[in-house]
Amino acid sequence: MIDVKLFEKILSDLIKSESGIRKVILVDRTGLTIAHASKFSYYPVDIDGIGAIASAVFVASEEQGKNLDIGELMLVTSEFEQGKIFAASCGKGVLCVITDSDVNIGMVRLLMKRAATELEKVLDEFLSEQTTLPATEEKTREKLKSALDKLEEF
Amino acid sequence: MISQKWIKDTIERLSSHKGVKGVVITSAEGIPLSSTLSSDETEKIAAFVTSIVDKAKKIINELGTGKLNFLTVDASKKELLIAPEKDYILVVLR
Repeated sequence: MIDVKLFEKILSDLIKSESGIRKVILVDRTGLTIAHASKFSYYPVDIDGIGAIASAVFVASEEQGKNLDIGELMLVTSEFEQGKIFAASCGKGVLCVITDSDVNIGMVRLLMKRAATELEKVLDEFLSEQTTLPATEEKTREKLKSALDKLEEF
Repeated sequence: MISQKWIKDTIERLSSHKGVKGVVITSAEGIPLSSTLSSDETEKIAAFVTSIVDKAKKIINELGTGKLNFLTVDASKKELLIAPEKDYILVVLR
């Protein structure tokens, strides 16, 4: 059983690794927030909204890549006057990092790639657990199947 | 001003020296501009070297000892020679 706190640990390790990182959000491809970590608890942003937009931008860029046949999308960077937003693929999820404008881009990229590899494994395990049917549901399914078989015999 | 020709010439000149294992030119933001090493190693070196240069600059600024001219990281297996400039950082591995 995977502890959801494992996601938060990976995200907070990432945020502590570089001084310019303000916020880290892990979202799935549909834009739902899985976990997040902030450097300052008072930093006011709509995490779910930011995560959803980051995921949408990432998926849209991914589509561009598919149309151009230039392979898998690794990382999207958006540079603003007072900050930067990075979004990286991590399997079935998207890792979104919000930073200051003068951050070490190379370091953020490196740290994100490392965290993404780690998150991909945990996320795969987490989602496979989520989709596994409980034992009772499995039994019900078997009963239904045998009932259908009997009906077919008639 | 950094030009493609300057980068090529600098890398060739430095690589020709005896004992040089690699040359990396990175932007001050840690984005590699050119390298003789693998992309993974280049990315790692660019990221950590820019980080150490930033810290060294802060120390020098705090101590009021002028401008950072050169940095050497001497390890048991390799030596990193770091020359920070305004727009880029030149790194030699030997």
